[in-house]
Amino acid sequence: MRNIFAGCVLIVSTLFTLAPFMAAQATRPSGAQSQGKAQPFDPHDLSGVWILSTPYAGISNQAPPLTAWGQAKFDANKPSFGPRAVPPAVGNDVIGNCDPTGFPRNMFSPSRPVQFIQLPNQMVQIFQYHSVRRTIWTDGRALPKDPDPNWYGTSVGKWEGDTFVVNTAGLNEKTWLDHFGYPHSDEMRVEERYHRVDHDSFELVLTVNDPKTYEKPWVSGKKTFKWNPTQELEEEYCVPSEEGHYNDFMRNPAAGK
Amino acid sequence: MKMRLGARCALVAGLLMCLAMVGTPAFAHHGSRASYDLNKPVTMKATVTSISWQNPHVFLSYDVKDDSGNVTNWGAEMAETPHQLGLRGWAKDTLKPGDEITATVFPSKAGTPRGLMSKVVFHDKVIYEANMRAPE
Repeated sequence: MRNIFAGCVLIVSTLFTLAPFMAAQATRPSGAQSQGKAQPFDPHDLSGVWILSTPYAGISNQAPPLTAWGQAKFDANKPSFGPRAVPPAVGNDVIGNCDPTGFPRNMFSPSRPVQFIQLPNQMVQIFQYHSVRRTIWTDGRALPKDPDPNWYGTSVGKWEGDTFVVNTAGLNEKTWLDHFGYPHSDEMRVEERYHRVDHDSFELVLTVNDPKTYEKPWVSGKKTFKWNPTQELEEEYCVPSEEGHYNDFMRNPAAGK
Repeated sequence: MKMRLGARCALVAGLLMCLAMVGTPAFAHHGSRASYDLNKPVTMKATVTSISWQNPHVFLSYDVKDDSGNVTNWGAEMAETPHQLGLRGWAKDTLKPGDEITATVFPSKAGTPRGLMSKVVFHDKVIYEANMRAPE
């Protein structure tokens, strides 16, 4: 009798101890435990929904010297953010037409979350804005030697210790590097280094290598992404017809057009 | 002197804490603030004529009557997308046509009746106040 009682106590106390872990396993995918900086984490797991907490919307505020080619492109770009801001109606920021933001500019949206999904052969990033899916291949393939340039390029990634290192090439010249009108060429290569610091955050450092545009590599400041408590993305499209209505009623009259 | 130094430290610490507590600013991705004069807010009593709950920014139109009875239709945009404004507790029917509001806007530099919304008062309550600490 005494043994049965002791056995019951043991089973019940074990269940109480394991219950939170069992519940987490049953209802949440890997990396999606409840919020808490002190929670355990796997440094090789970036899965979850994150939001940029570093406010600067570009690589860094210390751009390397531009080449003559880069300077001409920079002068032609008319942004609506930062020290060269002009009213959007007289600027030429491509996102004003709902064109794709492109990489790496899409990494610099402090108010919009991004989801990472880690699969055996790829890391998928889904950006809330435009519902953009970016694939980072982790199956050991090399970057293509002569990629066809597109909006988000071709990316490959691998773990170096606890750092996930991504290299990207094949980016078209229609996009800007940031919100401030810094240009790039289609020869640009970008390296990203992701490092998970604790359960609630990871850090990202980007390096832009584009000798056609910049005289030196451009290394970003350390950008911190935070675990987004809701762990959800919402629908957020730039819809050309809505953009047109906004332009007709707000943006153009605001600039006297 | 020691006390005064301590008090100064407490003040600085308090200010730093206040700064740290300010929420993440809205980031108007279309950079619309360049169109508006952020140094000259104007306040007007208005009647809402429509609310456009859409990307890239939510905007209102409203009628303003001057002392002579002339009516001007204004437009004012929020810094937020519908998603961001929703996070601040707004819904598409928070304001409806016919609602009487007091709107404070940063007016267009071009002098047209357009503005960036700074503050909305409805039924004697502030229902919107812009966060102008966007990272530019």
